[in-house]
Amino acid sequence: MDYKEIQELLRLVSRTNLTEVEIEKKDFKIRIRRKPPENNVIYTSQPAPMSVSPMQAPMIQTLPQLPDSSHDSRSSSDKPAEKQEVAGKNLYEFRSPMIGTFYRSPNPEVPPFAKVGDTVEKGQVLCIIEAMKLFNEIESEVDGKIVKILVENAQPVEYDQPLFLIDTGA
Amino acid sequence: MLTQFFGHNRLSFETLPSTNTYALELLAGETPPEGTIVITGHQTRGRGQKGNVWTGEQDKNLTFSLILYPHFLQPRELFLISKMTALAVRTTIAHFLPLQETLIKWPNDILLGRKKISGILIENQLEGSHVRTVVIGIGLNVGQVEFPAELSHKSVSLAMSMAAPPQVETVLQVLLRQLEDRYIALRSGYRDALHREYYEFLYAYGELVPIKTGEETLNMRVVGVDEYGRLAAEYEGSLRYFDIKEAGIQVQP
Repeated sequence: MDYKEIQELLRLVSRTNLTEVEIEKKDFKIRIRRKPPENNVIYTSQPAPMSVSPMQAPMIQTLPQLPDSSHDSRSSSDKPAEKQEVAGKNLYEFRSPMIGTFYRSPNPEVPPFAKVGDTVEKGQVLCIIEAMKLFNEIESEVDGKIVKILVENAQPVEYDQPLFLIDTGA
Repeated sequence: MLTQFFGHNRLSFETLPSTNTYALELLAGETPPEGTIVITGHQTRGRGQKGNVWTGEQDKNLTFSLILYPHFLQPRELFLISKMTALAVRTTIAHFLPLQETLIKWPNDILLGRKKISGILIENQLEGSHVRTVVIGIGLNVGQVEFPAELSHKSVSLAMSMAAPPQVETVLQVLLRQLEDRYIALRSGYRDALHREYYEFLYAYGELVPIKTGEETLNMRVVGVDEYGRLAAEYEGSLRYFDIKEAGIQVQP
């Protein structure tokens, strides 16, 4: 597929209300993803490619074709969280590994797993994301202190959407 | 045994509140071998969707949870586990009742002749972006022939559909083999056939059916299920995607 064809494809996609298109051919794979406007969270400390923000601009991601995607399909770009320097602190952005509904506690009668100011450890449950009757307990990958919770309880979340900011210290 | 490892480590209980809860508590302290099952003859606080509590008669039904460690999957691919499970349960029922229509109601209820025969509840533990454990809870009505009034018009069991129903243990062995075959296939990268098989047995696939979304029920065409497991349905020329919380297919008698 050449540049012109990609351009044509983008034009086609932007005329529809599709949010994601994936095309796979023998030697390549292309995925075009567009965030619906209301989910277009502009995150100032985000690395450049994520902050493509003209409202409906499609995002292109050309995925390398793996010989056998079954064995280990984790690539570095799939990391839902990353470390970054914000105002001199080491803030870890904990992102949603999947789409679904975000819950801060296992049920409405009990306190949340974690709140702002709490010290959390690697392996500690931070939230539940429910999607299509799959209930997923999400544990922290780092030790640190919760600085900010970016999503309200019981709200839908997108794949890769930032959920928590965790201060990992020095 | 018909399996290589599923069900080889088995924790059996006469009564348990919930096999899924037991399995999750067990996993908090240790790492039982992959394929371990927690099984009970009587579940007193089995959980369904939206907090529905299900109580079956003692030793009449199959109620168990299976522990897996599918580290080869990414969190956003976990719907594959749901598909795999629904297909394994469906095939098991079809094994005993080959001439009856057994379908999957999105996302993973199993219908025998338009009534529910099995429910599945999957609970996963993820460390950030890595899948750590998967607990698959399965309830399958085998010998029960009487159901609470509010469920009787939409529930069914194997015993209600055949003269000589199999033993619960026999159903378990067939089902474990079905699950294991699909799990091993998934682990080796086999996915297309899973998607094809899911569509082959998806209730209302391609059809115009009433779908309840919020307060309204609209006639929509079921177009498919996307990679995350969302229902794709067409309404008045536009395609819409739904989470299970947003929409439910109304089963036509």
